[in-house]
Amino acid sequence: MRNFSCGYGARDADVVRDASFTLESGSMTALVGPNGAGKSTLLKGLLGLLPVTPSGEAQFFGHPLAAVRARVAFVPQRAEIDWNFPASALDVATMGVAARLGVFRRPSREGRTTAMRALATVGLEAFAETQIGELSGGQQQRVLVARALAADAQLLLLDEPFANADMAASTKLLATLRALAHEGRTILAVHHDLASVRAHFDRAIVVAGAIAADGQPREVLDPSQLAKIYGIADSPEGNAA
Amino acid sequence: MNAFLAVDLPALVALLLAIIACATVGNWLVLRRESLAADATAHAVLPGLVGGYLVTGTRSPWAMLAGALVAGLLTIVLARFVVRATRTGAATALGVVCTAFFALGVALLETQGARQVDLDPSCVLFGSLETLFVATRESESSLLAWVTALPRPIWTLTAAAMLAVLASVIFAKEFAIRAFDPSFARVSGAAPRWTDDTRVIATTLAIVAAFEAVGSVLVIALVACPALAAAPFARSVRGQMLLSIVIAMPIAIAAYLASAHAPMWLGTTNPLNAAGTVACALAAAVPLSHGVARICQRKFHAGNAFNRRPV
Amino acid sequence: MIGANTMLVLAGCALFGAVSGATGTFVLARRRALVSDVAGHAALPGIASGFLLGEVTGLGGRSPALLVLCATITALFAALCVAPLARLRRLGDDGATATMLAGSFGLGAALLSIVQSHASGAQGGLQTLLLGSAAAMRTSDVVVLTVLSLIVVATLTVLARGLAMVAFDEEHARVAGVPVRALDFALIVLLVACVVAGLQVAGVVLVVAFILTPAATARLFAGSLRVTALRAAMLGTATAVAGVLASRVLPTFPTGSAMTLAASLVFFTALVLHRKHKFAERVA
Repeated sequence: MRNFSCGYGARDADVVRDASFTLESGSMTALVGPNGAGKSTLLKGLLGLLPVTPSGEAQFFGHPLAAVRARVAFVPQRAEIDWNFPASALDVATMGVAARLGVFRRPSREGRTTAMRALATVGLEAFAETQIGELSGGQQQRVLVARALAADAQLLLLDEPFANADMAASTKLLATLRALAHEGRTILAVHHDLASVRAHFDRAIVVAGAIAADGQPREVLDPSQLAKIYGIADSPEGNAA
Repeated sequence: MNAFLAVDLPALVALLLAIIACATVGNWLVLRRESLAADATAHAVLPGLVGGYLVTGTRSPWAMLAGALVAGLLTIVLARFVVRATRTGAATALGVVCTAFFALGVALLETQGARQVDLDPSCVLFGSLETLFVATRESESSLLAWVTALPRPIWTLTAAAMLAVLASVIFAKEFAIRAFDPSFARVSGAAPRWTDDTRVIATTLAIVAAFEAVGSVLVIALVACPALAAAPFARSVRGQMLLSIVIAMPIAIAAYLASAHAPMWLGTTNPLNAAGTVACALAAAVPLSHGVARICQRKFHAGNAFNRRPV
Repeated sequence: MIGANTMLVLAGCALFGAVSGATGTFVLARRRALVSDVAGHAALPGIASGFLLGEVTGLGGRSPALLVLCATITALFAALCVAPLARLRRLGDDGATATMLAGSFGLGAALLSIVQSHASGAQGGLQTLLLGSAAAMRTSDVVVLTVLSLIVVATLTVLARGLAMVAFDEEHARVAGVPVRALDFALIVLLVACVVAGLQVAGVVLVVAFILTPAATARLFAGSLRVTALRAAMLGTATAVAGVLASRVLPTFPTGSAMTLAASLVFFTALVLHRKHKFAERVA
């Protein structure tokens, strides 16, 4: 992804300017930064999910998103889903499999097996038949990850997957993501817990109106740097809105 | 032919077909949190109906149907544009657009002398259930004769119902993926835009076809209430769809028969408004069904909140 | 020249435009747009039972005061039912609204058919209910509208700050001791009052336009809730006046439609300007 600049059409001007970075496969990268600094906006802008198409160029595996949708999956924030939807965990995971099929095809038995495997990877195989509304928050988040897995995505983009997750849920999810990265998949997650980023992620990109820092969490997230970054976020330039 | 076969049975057939058409498309609307689409469409199609008449100069139902379809689709397009272009909520955008269309329709109706269009308010609101009757000659009393003598609105409704069911079966996974999580659908390319457009067209067609037979009030109820009544018990999308029809049919039949015959038992001569009674009954079923579900849950899942399995 | 009757209609509609614009702003801020639709439709069972009550008690089936009272009661009841229903797990705002709307209007239709078998002329009543009869406004109607407008505006002024806090952040307001439920209740009462008053001006369907459209237009532009409400009131008045005058110039043009179309035109113009402005800002 090079020279990517995106903005939120409904508000003034660009929220994030001149963002530019490249991800390597098999890595776990975290997008961090103060609230409202544009982390989720950047993610959604990359994926074409904002009402106004951002300017700039985002390349996925060397191609525009439209050409490689089969290899990319988006895991939205838990709060954006209506968990009263009538579906079991397996049903949602199967949606990931179904996403890979053409319009007139149905998931086969193999497909459901793939979905079950995806559920097993995130540790939810015991809850396959449970209605998603009856799952806990952490479990719901993992169902969304299972869906992305079932779609066999090579690049997973997660929007605040650890929001409102307790320690147990976060630990489980981190372990899952680590395993996926190990397999060669690429993970990009919006995250707010800096300690967790420092401990578990390969790379941290700090977003505060623009990309303020990019590199190893140990270097990027040391106390003096953080003061500067979160300090920057308070000035008019940083928020650019 | 006795009164039941001539008058009641055709009306019941229309009612059941309307249930199939509207509950099918309605389930998707409810899952997408768009339960009021039928209300908006009801208001918005007026200029289409009048326009169809004005453009062709005839009272051809096909012209009016086509006009209604165009108006309905245009409303949706405009409302979506408003939502995208501003921070206006979806409900407000739809309200602004469909009332504007309604106002336009009324204006056209009054100024263009289109009063012959046969759009008297009670017909628009309550449909023509009471006028859907079958009249065959004494000598023709076979089933075939009866079926072929069914009035045209029933055939339009049949076609719309078949289309609705077909679309729901063919595109079941696309509709479900999109309804559950549109952003995932968009990124992964799972449910291409044209499948959703097909759904919108099938929905508008079902709603407009049903308007003619049962009126807008009942259509609004049919689109939302069966699915909403089935929702507390549904464990899958298909389950909700089937359950909604299973719930709606007996209620509608009972309400219709009650509206037609109960007043006579009570001593008055006029039947109750059929469409209104059915609509009211279906709406009442919604909180009732939720209440029943809650009671069942309490009885069979005592302590569920505490014995939920750990993360 | 503008005759006395036109002045009356102008006064009544202008007042109504102002009041509904202001109320609509708060309604939109609280995301209760759909409730106005329910209130309008739920007036029908009230009107029908008002008829029946009138017949039964000998007050005469067409006593306007009784009809308005009954309409207000049923509309208020239905409007207040929406929020609690919406909290049911698989229902939601849209589902609760659709249920109340269809149920109350269906009930109204059934009751109306009972009325029709007893009294005549209820058919014409349905037409008036649907489309309103602004042109038939009388002095008494304008007086009522004036009183209503004063009450609504006074109440809104008093409640404005509380409503703004709740609209901005409900949890925070609750913690800060703002009586959220009381404010919501008050807002619904004001909304229902506007809707019932508007039934005569514009009819069931178009009254919603008056509540939503000027307010939606005003909200396209930045400003505090109070400023927006003021702008919405002015827009409501202006478009109402424009509509009445237009329908005077074109005799067959119905008044309610003219007012609605004026408001909608203004909305779409504002929308286009808003987009141009945003686009210009981005390019610059």
